[in-house]
Amino acid sequence: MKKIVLLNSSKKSAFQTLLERQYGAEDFSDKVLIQAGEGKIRLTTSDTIKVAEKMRGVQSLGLYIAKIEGQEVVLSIEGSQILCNRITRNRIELTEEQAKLWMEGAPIQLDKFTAVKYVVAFYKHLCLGCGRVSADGKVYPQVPKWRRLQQE
Amino acid sequence: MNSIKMSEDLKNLLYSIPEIDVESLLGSYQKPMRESIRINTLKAREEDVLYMLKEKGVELEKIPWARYGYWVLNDVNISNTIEHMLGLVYIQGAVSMAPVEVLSPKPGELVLDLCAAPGSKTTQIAQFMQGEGVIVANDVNLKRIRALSSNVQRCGIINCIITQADGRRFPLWAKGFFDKVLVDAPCTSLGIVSKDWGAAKKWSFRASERLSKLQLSLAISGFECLKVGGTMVYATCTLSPQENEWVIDRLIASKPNARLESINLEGLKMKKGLLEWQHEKFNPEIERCVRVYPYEHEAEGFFMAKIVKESDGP
Repeated sequence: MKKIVLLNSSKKSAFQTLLERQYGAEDFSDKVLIQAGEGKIRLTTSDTIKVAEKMRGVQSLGLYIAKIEGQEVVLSIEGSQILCNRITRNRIELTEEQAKLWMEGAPIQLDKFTAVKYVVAFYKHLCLGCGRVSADGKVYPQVPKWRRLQQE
Repeated sequence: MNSIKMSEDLKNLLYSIPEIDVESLLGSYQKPMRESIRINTLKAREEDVLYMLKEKGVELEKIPWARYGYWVLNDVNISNTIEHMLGLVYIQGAVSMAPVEVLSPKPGELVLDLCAAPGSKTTQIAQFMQGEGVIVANDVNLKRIRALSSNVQRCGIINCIITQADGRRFPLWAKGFFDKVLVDAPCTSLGIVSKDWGAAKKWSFRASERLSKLQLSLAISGFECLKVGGTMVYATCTLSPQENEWVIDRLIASKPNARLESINLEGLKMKKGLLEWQHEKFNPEIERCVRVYPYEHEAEGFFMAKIVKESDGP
């Protein structure tokens, strides 16, 4: 089994600072966060870690919530759903048609220019994860291929 | 219209079990199963998701034996909806929800799903546990584990460990460790032939017998991983007594501390486990196992046994 690497307090604090700056979101301070390679962060419980240490052939544990790319946090769909209403910055609201396009993986044209690199998309009260903002003002949804809607 | 092709062995099997209504069974094999979903309350409130689906024109009817299960009444492609992709709903066969209902995992428990991929029952277990306690979801096949991981992620489960191991070896490191164990064993799939007609064409006594040895090893392994007082559910989606009653008969013969419990699920049409098949008599306790035939609910056929570990074994 690969060693389980808990996010130590300084890394956790750095992660929280990035989250706060980027999304204005409350932190995960009361949660157990682990590193899962390539800047990926997973959320789990302390009991889960204790049990995992006893098991063999562990492939993964907990929930993938975010990836850190340099000074940016890219939230997974689940990461954005956990923070959801606490996300106050860099959020965009989508119409029903746009939400459908987003989940198909198609880019969305923003109405207003934004200088940020990532935004979180909302449709009604649902969080649809992060999208990368390009220079041409389009947002490219970071929806994994296996979770994309098929075009009808 | 094409008709289903059955092996000679399968015909012999079906006519060797008098309680099977063969004509109805063949009829059910030719029709697609009714679609059903489970609302994932780990991600949203049940009533909110029901409202969202209703707004989309999805007509639902509660499945009486499944806490969060619903039949889909109209022709809607649920798998291509935002609600599905976001993990608010999980497409799962109505009868396939029954084993976890029987197992009834509770928040705070340690639960092992020994043959977990692709994860329908793992995600259902997680839902019952509400994020408290730990689930170990194991499978031997790495390719199938990818599907399991995806489903665990989509359902937003934080307290699950995914392992790849031969389930027969689990007691080496987890003997007496779990409160609940689910052994949803690989089988010859005669309960889901409408999804794969090939299962009927290639079915043979020999393959069934070979699988039953693996199933027995997995059932013994799962049982050994239970704490005293713990509960195991053994389930298959096949009709062959060799893979069902025979396995449980041998399990309780080899484990004197195993006790079979009765199974009651509201609204689910079940038959008792067989006490005799092809001149072989089983332990009378086997009557507490249940069989569900595909034609009863236009859904999967299943076999389930609920076993309690009464004491530390020899």
